[in-house]
Amino acid sequence: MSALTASIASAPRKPGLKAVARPAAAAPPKLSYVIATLAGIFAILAGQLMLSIALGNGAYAIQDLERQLAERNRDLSIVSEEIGAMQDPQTLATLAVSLGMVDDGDPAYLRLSDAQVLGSGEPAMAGSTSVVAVVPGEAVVDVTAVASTIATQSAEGESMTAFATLTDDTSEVTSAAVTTLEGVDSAVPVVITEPAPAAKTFGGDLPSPTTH
Amino acid sequence: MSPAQIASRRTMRRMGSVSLIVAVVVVAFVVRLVDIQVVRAAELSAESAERRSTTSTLWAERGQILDRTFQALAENADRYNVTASPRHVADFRRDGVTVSVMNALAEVEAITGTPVAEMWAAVSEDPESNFAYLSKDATTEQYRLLLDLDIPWMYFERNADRFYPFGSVAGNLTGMMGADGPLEGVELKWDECLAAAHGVLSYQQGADYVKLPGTTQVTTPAVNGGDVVLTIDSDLQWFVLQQLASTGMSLGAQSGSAMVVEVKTGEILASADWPTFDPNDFANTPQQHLRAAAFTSTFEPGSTLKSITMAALLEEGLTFPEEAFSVPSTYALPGGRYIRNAGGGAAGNLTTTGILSRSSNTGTVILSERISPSVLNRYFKAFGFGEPTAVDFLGEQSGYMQDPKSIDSITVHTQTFGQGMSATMAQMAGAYQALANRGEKIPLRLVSGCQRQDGTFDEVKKDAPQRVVSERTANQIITMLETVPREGTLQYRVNVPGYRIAAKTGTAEIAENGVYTDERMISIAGMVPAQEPQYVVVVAFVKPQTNRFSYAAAPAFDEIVTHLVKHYRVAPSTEEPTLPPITW
Repeated sequence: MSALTASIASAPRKPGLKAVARPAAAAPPKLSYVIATLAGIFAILAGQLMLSIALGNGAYAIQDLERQLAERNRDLSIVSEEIGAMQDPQTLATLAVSLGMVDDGDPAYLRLSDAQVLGSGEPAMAGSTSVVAVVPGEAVVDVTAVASTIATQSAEGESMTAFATLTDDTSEVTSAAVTTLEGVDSAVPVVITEPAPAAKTFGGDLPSPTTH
Repeated sequence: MSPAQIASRRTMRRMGSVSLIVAVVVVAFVVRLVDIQVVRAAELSAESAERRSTTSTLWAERGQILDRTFQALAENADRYNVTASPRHVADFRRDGVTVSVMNALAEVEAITGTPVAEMWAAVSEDPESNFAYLSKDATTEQYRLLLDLDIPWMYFERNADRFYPFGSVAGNLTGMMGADGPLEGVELKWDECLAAAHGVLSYQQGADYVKLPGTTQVTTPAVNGGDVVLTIDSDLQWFVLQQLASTGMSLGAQSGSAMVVEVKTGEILASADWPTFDPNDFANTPQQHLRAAAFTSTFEPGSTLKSITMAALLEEGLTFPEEAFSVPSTYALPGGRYIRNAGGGAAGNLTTTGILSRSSNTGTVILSERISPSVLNRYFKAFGFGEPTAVDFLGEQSGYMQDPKSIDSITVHTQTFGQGMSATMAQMAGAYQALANRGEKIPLRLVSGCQRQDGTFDEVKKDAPQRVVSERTANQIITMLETVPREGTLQYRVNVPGYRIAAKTGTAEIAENGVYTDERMISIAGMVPAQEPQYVVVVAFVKPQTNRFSYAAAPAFDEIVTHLVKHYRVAPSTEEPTLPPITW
């Protein structure tokens, strides 16, 4: 440090004014910068344009999707109304009766240990069930209309094919069902050789199975 | 001046005038600009926003009414009102073909079924008007077809409608919605839970009615209504209604009601009234059918009340099931009037059980001489008579009992067998629930609660069970009532093999204009299975014509009990009961 101070101090002193070199004239702006700047400005403008076009398109897309959503909601409302109407116990029962089904009458139980039938043991009678109208002046549900709706839908590839055979003539359906039942009956081998014990109303303890 | 100088001066002058014009135009533009951008800026931008801004309704859904298995008994359905602008109704071109107004209306008729004449009358009534209804309540399917018609002067308004998928099955309980709101039943009583609050959406739209991006704002949010969950089993409800209708029709009865109550919970599984109505289409239904008679209609219950009188006598230790009586066939009342029995079997050498089983009026009156009217009244009240049930159904009645302090000398006797006082079927079902539940009364329930949209379930408050008689007394009554289908008034008429049933019949004379007529109200109240009651069933028919004896209600009661044990898989009874003797 002291050596440096000494060397400055020892340098010969010059008069106060000194001519300096003329500063060089400013170079003209380079073309590339101009182009880059302009391109930048245009890029920003174009970007903004694209953005607003995209936004505008988005608005139309939203509009379109909202319309589709409304349509699907309408589908939903139509279908849920149909399902609701088909779940109506009155409609279901009417359809079941039209297919030849009957209520199973008094319940009965089979005790496994001694093949004792508890309860009534009486079979249900064919045609013993009917559905009545509960509102004065109102007809019982139009079965054929409901059935044909289901049939149409199954024809369109939806499930519930079992109803597809229903026609306007419900007697046809009933007879078809009976044929099937007879078929099932003959297919089951009858193994009881001695007469089954008569049904008892109260048969003692329940259940007492000896099973393996 | 040289020609050059002249030309130069002319150019100068021309330049000057052009500059002046430019300056004036520029000043004009600047003034206009400042006026628009600065002076009227706020006003104009508000006006512009107003022109673009619009609002639309955010539709909220009314809650559903559900049964105990969450099947919808009442749900929402979109319906559309078809409207037109009569001022613009004219022939129009579609696909290059001119369609006349009449042809267009005929196309609408083919879809909606509204006659052309009616629609034409609507649009021609005031041709200068801008609004008229063509048709109301078109379904969504019809709405789609109508849209495809592409009729330029036809418009639509959405009409949130109510749809009852099960129709008449539970209409008496759900009630219905009218044009301006709920009208009856649960719809009205539970409107606070069900009601929806529509919201408002505000946004700005472009010239082609497309929402401008970033301008939509939900001003008021839409709040959907909650679902009301009932204790009703709609399959059982349907079956009960079917039995009411079929027995009621064969009896030529005016009306009928039935109720099934789960003993351990007090929940009403079915409450049917016949004739009933379809809440989807009730415009032409007589007013008296538009309600739940089991809650809103009172009747003199008749002999089903004897079980309650007998429970009071047993609880007070004033008799016992085997006590022997020589029951007379008549009992003289003050003023030369007599109490008689319905049949000869209700007199003679009967036990207390026999008096109940054979429904002896004279025997019941003689026995009831042992209990003071105020004590009996206390028991009646404890069993739930004289005030509405905990269900608190819309328009539910209290029934009527005379004040024991001022009761007249005839009613004091007749009320012991259910004449001279009145009750609802719900009260009777509640009283039998208390007997079936070994003397502990659990308040009846029809609504489990309100399932709010935020997922919370507001359960209806469960009142504490009340002990009304001892378990011993209740068991004695149940055993005594078991004699009714075996040896009493329901012998051979109520029989479900394998199951023990306790039941009581009732035949009440119907008073009209203060005079008893020969019209009857017949009823049966009972429980199954008797050794461990699970279900209480009450069935009643008003004004039966072909058979006026109480056992005439038996077919419906028997069918309902049979169905109950099958439907709910009730295990059969295993032991023959040991029943007290009914005669001596």
